[in-house]
Amino acid sequence: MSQHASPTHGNDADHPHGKPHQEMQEVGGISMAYFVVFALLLILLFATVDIAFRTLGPFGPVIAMAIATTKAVLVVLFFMHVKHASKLTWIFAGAGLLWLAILFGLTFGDYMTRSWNDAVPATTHEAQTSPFTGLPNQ
Amino acid sequence: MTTLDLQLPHPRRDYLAAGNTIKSWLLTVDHKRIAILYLISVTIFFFIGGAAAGVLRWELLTPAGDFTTSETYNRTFTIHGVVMVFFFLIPAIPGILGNFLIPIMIGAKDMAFPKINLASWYIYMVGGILSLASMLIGGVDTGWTFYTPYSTSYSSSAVVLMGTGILITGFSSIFTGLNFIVTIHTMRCPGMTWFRLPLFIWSHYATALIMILGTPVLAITIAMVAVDRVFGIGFFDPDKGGDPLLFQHLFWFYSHPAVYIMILPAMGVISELVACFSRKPVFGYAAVAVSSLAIAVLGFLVWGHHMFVSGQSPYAGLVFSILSFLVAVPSAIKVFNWTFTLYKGRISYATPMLYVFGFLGLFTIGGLTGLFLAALAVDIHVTDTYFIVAHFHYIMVGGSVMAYMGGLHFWWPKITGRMYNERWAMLSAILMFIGFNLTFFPQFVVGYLGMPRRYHEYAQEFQVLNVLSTAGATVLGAAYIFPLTYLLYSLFKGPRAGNNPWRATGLEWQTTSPPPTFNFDKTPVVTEPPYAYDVEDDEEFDVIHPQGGQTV
Amino acid sequence: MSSSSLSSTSAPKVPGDPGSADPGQAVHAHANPALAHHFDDLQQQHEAHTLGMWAFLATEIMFFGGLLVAFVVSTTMYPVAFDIAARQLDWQVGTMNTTVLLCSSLSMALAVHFARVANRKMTMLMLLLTVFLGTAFLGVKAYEYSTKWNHHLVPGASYNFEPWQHHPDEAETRLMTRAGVLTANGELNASALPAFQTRTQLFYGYYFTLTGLHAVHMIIGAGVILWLVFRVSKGQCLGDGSNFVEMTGLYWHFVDIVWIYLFPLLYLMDRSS
Repeated sequence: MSQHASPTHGNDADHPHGKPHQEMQEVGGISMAYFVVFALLLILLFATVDIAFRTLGPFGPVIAMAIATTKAVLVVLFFMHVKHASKLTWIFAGAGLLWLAILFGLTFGDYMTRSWNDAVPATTHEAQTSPFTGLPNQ
Repeated sequence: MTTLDLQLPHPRRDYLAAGNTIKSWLLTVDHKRIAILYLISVTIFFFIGGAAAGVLRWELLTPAGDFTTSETYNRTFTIHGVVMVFFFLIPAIPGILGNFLIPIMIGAKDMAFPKINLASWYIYMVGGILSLASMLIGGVDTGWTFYTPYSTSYSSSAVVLMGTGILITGFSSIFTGLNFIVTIHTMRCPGMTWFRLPLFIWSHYATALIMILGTPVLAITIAMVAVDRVFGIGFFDPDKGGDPLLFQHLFWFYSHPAVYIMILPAMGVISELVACFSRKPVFGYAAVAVSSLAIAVLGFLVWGHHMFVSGQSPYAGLVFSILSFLVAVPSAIKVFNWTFTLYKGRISYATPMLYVFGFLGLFTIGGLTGLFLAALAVDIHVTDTYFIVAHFHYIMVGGSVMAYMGGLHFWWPKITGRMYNERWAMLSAILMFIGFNLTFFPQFVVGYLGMPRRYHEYAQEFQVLNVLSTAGATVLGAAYIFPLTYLLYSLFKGPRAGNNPWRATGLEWQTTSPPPTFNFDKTPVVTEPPYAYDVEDDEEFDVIHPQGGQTV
Repeated sequence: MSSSSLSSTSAPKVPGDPGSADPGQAVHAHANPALAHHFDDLQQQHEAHTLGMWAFLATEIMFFGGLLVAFVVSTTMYPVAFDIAARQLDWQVGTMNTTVLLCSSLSMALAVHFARVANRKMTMLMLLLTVFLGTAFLGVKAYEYSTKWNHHLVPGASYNFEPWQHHPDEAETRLMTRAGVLTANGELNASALPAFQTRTQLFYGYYFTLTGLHAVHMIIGAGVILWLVFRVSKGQCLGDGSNFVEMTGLYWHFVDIVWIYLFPLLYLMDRSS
């Protein structure tokens, strides 16, 4: 087993991983980062609501998801301490997202290419404007 | 070579002797006892699934549907598939051999999460009992694949109950996978670097990756089917705006990688056995190790090959076809490397090695036929015929089950401290090989000729081949019952095994048979690569006449 | 020739004393009570717990993810019907609820901090605050569900989507005309109605399944946090033993992240006029 100087192996209250890092300012012993991130999350929430009411065309959902992802990344890095965690933790955190991307990607690959070979072009308005065609009940 | 003598003159303190109350077994957190719990329940499920297979094969003796009604036949093949896939193949090697061996092989005292390990067995049992309960109230007639909208909107069978059972068992799989991954990452003993790990560990690590990333998608899919059925929403029903292919995408996203859950642990077993019984290190260790990971990753990219004729986009079919060819490459690498391990090895024909030979031939056939199926044009011709049935049984039964039997026999002395009767064991292995081929080879032929699967009756011209297949199934059934009897017998009357009857390498053989509760008296330190066999060394195994052995 | 040597390392945690009646006991004099017997040291234990929880969260990503993929596929199939259906959700209530949940994330993060520095009172306070906020979230959701029930928007036998009964605004009217439910004159097109009911019901099927699944996760999380409060009140799970609090925090933050995605996907779909 590994030889360690002490049973807690350099663990202390805020550094259970034993990795020293430049800590943000503290307020009464609590890292300021928590409050800054919280404020950012609220700001981004209001941004999300705001852009929902603007006409942004096809970019609307993209921007909404980008904002949501920014919020998620803030929570993951700071509230969930991944910023100071081991590289392995980063890999574990990222693996789920990568696999979800596989599920999304190949499934959408099917739906979006179904109409490529269509002999008869789509007739209804919804079928013509939809990214997917060739589906039941369109 | 002399085995390290850890026989200390004191009362038995192996894990089997550490408490003999029911409570000490049902509330154990010892990974070895949990493995035994799995062994008992997995075996029971195996014979239930096998009985269902017996009913199917009996019906198929004659072209007419005279033994069962079509309804009963549908429910029977469903229970056969559900039990064999979810309650036997997926948990067997990981739950029994994986749970028992992984901590020992890496030099640890237990898994990272012993209580979660026990929980995973209980969850498996709850799920299994629910699924069997659904059988008692009439069963399910959708096939283990639960295709929609039949399963959601039209079938009047116990879909929700059986689905719930499978969903719950999925969490057993997830917990097992979690435990394996964290244990292998964090609890290796000093000196046990990644490339000194036995290939059994690499395979189980890859298996655990699939368990964690794939099983949740099955869980949510079954939950959606249940919601669909109960609330009539129509996620997957075209009449209600849904798409049946959405179900198939979600279902096969898990169920294809699931087949790699079923085969990767078997491959890990084969690596261990082939090295020991050729007295050579596995050829191309790094390639075999990395190919396990490659199979796990690539296995997630090919699910659409189950949907070539479903109406999915032909372009998607194209992509899935190419990727399906690609996923065969790492498996082929393994087969080549095992074969090169045999080359110029000092080969012995003990029972575990007989199972290795069976595996190598049958898995190769199964795998090659998989390549045929990856080709779109061929697949369209043989889809939903017995060709497919034969293909996956060659891999699942000819591959996985053979490897499971080989592993069970190889590690039996370690797990139980007893040796089985070698003659009965060899006879069973040979009988199993004969029975298997007699059962399933005719199915390739009859499938290619057009006999559809999941039908209780068939055209007259297929009868001869079906009779052969049923005859084979009878032989195979007997071949499975023999090990049940002689292995059970060995528990009471078998000769006591030494610590290392096979003179194998690996940390599990450096501790007592059976091991003590915390696996090692002193934490091992590893300094050498794995499989340090010497092909020149011609000393016999001390199996039939074990030296030493524990005092009672 | 052996493949591995069994040389003993210094300070083994499990003594190999053959005469010991119970060789499993860790009798090492200064073994930390927070350290489980099968781990070598606290760092290994912490790493194992963290990796285990993140692996579990990866399974949760795939669990919710499967449902989300299905939802996104269906949304893309029926963008207009889903849009109209989504507009019946109260975005203001949703925004307030999201704020409540973000606050609970902050209180949970603080609870983890206080647990690490072994401040028993503040840990309990923050944990209780988290449960309180989480319960408030669930209460609001229950209120939303009940309004949906009253408006016949719960899938099943009683489902009946009739937004035109409740004075739709200009944007909704335009959308319904596009969907063919309203004619150019603003009259109801009975023949288009069944498909429209089906598709909007599908949206609500997803709404209830997604938010219901999320709510179940929150209920479980709240239960675990209450159990934590009980243990912390007895002085456990603090300092070196605070892993449990930290892992619960990871779970709670994850459930929060799921809502961060659900909220815009369900409530804020194209609200532009």
